[in-house]
Amino acid sequence: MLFYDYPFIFIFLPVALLVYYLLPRGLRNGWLFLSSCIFYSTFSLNFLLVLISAAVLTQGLGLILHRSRGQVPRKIWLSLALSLNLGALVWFKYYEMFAGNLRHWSVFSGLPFFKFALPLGISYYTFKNISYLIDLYRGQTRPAQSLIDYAAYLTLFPQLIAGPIMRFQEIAGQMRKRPETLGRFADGFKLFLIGMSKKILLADSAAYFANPLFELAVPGFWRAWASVFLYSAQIYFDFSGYSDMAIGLGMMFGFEFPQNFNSPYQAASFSEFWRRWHMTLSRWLRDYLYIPLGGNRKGKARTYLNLMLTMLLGGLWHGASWNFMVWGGWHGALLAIERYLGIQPPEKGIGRKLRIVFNFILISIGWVFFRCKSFTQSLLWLKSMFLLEGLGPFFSLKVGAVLAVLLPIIFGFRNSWELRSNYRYYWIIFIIGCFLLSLAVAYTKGAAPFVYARF
Amino acid sequence: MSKENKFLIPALAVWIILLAISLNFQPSQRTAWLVLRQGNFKFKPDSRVQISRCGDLSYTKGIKELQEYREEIFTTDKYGFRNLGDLENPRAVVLGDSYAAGLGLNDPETLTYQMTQILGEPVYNYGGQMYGAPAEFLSDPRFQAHPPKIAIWAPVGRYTAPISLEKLSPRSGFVRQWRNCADLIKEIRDKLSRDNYLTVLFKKIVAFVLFKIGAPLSTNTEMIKVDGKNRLTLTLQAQLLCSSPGERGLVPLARNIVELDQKLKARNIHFIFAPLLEPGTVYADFYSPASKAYLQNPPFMALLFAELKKQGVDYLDLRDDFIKNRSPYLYLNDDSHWNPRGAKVAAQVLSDYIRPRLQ
Repeated sequence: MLFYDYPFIFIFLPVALLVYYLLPRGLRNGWLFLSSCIFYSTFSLNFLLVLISAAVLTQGLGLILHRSRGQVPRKIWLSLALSLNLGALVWFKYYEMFAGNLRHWSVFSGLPFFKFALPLGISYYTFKNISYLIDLYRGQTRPAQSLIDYAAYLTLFPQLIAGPIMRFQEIAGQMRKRPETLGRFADGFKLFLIGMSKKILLADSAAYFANPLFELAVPGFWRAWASVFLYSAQIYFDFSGYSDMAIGLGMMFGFEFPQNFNSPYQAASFSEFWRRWHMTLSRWLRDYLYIPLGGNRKGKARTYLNLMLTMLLGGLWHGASWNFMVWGGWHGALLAIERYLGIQPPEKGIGRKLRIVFNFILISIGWVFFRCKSFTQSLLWLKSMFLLEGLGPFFSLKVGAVLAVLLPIIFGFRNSWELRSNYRYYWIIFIIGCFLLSLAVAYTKGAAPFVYARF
Repeated sequence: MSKENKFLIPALAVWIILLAISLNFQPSQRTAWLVLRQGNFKFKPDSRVQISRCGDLSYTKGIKELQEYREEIFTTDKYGFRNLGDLENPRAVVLGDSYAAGLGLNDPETLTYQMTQILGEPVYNYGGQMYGAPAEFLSDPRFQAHPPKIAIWAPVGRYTAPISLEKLSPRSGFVRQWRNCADLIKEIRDKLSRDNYLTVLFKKIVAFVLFKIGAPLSTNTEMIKVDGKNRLTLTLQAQLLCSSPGERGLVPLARNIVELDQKLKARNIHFIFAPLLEPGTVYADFYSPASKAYLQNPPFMALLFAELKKQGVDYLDLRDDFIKNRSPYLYLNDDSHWNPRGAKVAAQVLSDYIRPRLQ
């Protein structure tokens, strides 16, 4: 049951909202937890157990950690809690990748073969658990007031599938009291409709034309670049559309989630891109990985190494594949080189515009590793993009037309976060019209699952 | 009016109107397949259902212009498989999914019934719902006591994927309750996801427009014109004809088939792997250029056959015979399955192939 499915929009959400606002405030977190469990069980009842266990264990160990005195016991409790959380993530997500590689050596050839289905959202809720535990250890947050509060935070259905990755300290106050105003509800509802339209009308259209291109045995220069630009548009509209829907849903329940996308392709440097793309993950990686590794405080060489390590692990977070590692490494290298050269993008003017285009091209090259099914296919794509496989046939007129629509939206339009407070009549009519069209398309042609839901 | 209400009133009004239209759920199309579904693989035993139905593709896409209704009689034996009469100790068994079971066909039009007619001796239909056929067959006590001479695994190409040869152990106690609960949730979700007046209305409007302008009907459905008539099929991509070996699991699948072959050999059963064809393989040249872009990669089945040849597994490629006999059309016009003629061509080829091996 995804956000654009009929049962979600017309049955689950109205019931969840109605009961929520009918209940006294003291029971609302409990209802949120219950409705999140119902939502999650429509994907898998088995994995609901994993999710609830993660919430109970983390809250329990977090309380013990908070009450412990002395550095050594605190470190022991933290290590135990982190190991359990990371252990589950590694077991479900990375075991087969590591075991598969180790089996090449005869010593490890007997490693058992386990192919698990990945519990939906495990990468996201594990990161939330980790940030909660570390913040407790650092004394940056207090424990949740009750298990229900923590479970409601961890399982909150609007951000369960693919974030945004909120830290408990950002939302602790809202778990106790949140302003459930009409204005916030309206903004949230609008953001939800905008997100849905972005996903169904823009992202899925890009995917419709990109997917056949990525099936080509030899794409050639033109079609390789067209496929990569289409995928750049697809992943942006897909993930930012999902984030808009998630944030909008949160607002309808009175929450204020952090922004997750801020026109990232309009960034003129790579560090700016990462401040605008999947912002909650970037912040998480900065605060719980890059800075603890030493950040930029231990000399230049160490800074570059830290950037590289952070981005490599960020890549690995997306999935157990060398392609994601290379994608992370590519961004780590871009960030390190940018820092080494001390490049500061111009604030405005043609110089900035050229930098934006240059950035977009390099970022799109990185998406090759993200999209291609194997490392071999990625190399073939790069060869084609750099004319080593010939020009090949030109892409179709339809592909050109789709790019001509999508790219100006990416570079020239304000983002949905900025537009959510626009209450002009023409804009309201436009959004409702797009919502109707999205429903018609989703229920007729079918919508593809969210790209980031598989991480 | 406050600025929030300027948006909320029309938006909620639209939402409520859509909700009101959608209420009163329309039951999904009743088919023998759904009526007789029982458990994960078999059908209800000793049953006979007669139903008038149209094709799955024209129904789900809401394209009235292409819907062709026909009578379907579906009969099952006492073991829950689609056979006329109780065939005890057959010498040939066909394992498979909806194609082998004969979804959309009448009892005498199914693959095994036609093979029985051609060979003059009973061929048992072991076609069930989706995967599971080999695992079910291996653990079926009937065929352990009286092994057939030949077992043909004939899954439809799209569903030829790595399988488990171990049958799931029966559920007990808490696990059973838990699984039942999961099944119930799935059932509710499926019921709520069924077509309702709203989705049907949207489908009708969109399908009408797309049909009129000749645009692709959906991300997984395509209309092709063969012998001067419109036919609905899955797109070449949805038929997974040329998907990459890694994605389709070529290596584990080949390993499964070899293991199945060895297990059956140990019981003195001759095994033949004979995947059934979908329209994409036979009528590839009729698809749109966008769809045909997928055909640039080598066909998955060709790679699999090459692997099986290396391993010494007996397989049968129906491709050439289907292409030779491709007119008149071999598939139902508005369905993702074959028509009686498609089943007949396959029955002839399979019968010719196994006849000497049965003697």
